[in-house]
Amino acid sequence: MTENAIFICKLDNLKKVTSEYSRLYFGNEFCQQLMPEEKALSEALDLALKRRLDFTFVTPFLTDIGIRKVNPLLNLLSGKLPQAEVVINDWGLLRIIKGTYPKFNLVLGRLLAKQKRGPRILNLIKKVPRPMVEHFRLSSTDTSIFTNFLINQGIKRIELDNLLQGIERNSQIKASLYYPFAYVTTTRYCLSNPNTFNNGFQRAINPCNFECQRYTFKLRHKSMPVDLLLKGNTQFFENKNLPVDLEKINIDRLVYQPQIPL
Amino acid sequence: MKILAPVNSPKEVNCLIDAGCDEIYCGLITSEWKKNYTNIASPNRREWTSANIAGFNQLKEVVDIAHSRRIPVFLTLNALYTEQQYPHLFKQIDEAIEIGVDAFIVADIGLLLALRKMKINIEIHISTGGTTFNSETARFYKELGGSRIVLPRHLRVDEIEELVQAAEDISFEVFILNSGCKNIDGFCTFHHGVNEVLHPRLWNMPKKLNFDRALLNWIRRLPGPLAERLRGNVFGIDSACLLDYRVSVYPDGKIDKKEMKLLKERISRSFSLLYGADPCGGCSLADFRKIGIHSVKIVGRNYSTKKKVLDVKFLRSILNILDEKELAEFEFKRYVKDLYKQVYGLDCGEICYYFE
Repeated sequence: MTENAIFICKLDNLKKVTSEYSRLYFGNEFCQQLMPEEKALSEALDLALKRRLDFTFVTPFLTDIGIRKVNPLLNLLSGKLPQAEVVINDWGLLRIIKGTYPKFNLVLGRLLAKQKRGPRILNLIKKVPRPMVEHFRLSSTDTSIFTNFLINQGIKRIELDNLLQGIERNSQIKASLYYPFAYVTTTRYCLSNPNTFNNGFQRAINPCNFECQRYTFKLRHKSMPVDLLLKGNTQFFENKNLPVDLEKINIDRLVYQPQIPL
Repeated sequence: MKILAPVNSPKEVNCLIDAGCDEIYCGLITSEWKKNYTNIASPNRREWTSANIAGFNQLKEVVDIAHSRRIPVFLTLNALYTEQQYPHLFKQIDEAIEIGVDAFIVADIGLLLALRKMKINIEIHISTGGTTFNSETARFYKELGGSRIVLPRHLRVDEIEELVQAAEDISFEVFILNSGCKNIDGFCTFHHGVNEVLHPRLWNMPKKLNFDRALLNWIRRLPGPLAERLRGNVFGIDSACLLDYRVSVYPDGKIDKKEMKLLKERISRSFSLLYGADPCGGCSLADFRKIGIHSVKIVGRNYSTKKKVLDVKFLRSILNILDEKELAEFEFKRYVKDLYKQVYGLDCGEICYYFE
């Protein structure tokens, strides 16, 4: 049976959590600036506990400053829900959680799941050898050596995007499928931050005023089979067509994103 | 601090060493690999045939020449692999070990684990694809057998300093010249090299002749505002991050029309070809030396030998001056900028790898 989860990044959107969902995802994968404040995490967690929803805290890739920022959040989570599920997108954070919060249930996030998502694969599919198409339907995490490593690290689940070219899996680890927004690329030279270009065309990693919360950009090009959606520092595409047989590819959870998760 | 130079042919090894490089790296795509996976699913992250050594005979030549001059050679195996590729991959690894490469540059955890299991007596360098943004991740890779980490481009110098100081017993490498990817290499899932398959006649020769690099460098000679307006697919350039997208904007709430217009224009301009011009981190070399960076990496295995030699000479001159003199920061940067103009024949334009 497929579990239905909903991924919320902002407290305002908690109202979208309806009874069809049994799990709440909360947090951010792509920008440590957008990690929730402790108060917001607490509120999201309280809602989940009150409504008896399972809870998943989503974390981004992190610099050393980001590591310092995420620790109080993990502390708070551990205090309220010691066996909470945590999605990691940073190998360093895996190391910290295993040492300090061993009861958390660990999930490998989309950034580390290593699927190839570039939409131009659709232009190539009929022109390239079959092994290459199969290769791009898989993830490097599917290899037996990588899978065993994940299991030994206590990682019980992998988060996947809904690839335009289709998904093939032969892994014993369960997976979640995010829809409708699949990430393609991300950056720290955030295009939504005007301070990225505060010296003409020279780009830099600078603080922002969360402009990404106010705008989404669509990028269209004739060689890109689908539009790209740029929000904040990350580009996505939309794919609403779910795989037909989720069980066959060991996917037992759908993670719905009512909005681009930034 | 060492200079690590890229190679795609045995013919350029001696002149790069003469120019002053201390280490060499290369990649290869065999015809057998291409038959099944094309260049697009290359075994390394330069997905163009012209960026790669043609086969193991050439790799042996590269290693023999380099070793005769006591220069180590690193082989890039920094793509992500699936199980079906493992037999091909390990055959290549066995052959590379037999030839005597000194290190593998690796991004895939599965490959890293497999190499550790094989107990090979070769260094493992963690590619920028390993996305080491913090010191804990550095420790993670050290525990898995990494002896050197290539840091991501998207770190500021102060962040690099903190990371390097916090992580012990592992050496670090930073990018210093060329190909400043707009997106985080290790998290970017766009395909590269697609035109080599889709438009081979229009692609192969211009790419081999470095038409794309010549064009991008020519653009730098134009006035900034004009250079920023040049967009479009041209032969040899098919990176998704340089396509001339049509940008539209959708507000998500409270609108500031002026801000929205500014952002839309900025984003649109950021896809101009100027943003594909090669950046330089020369001015950061003094800082990197103080921080204790082990090696600085020149990107561009597909570039011309002439360009690579200039790059090595440029960096070697800067490192020499750092050895010889104590310069104030502004004096040092002035020296680097003047040297850039002398070596490359154009102003650096402050297209910086590590702009603060």
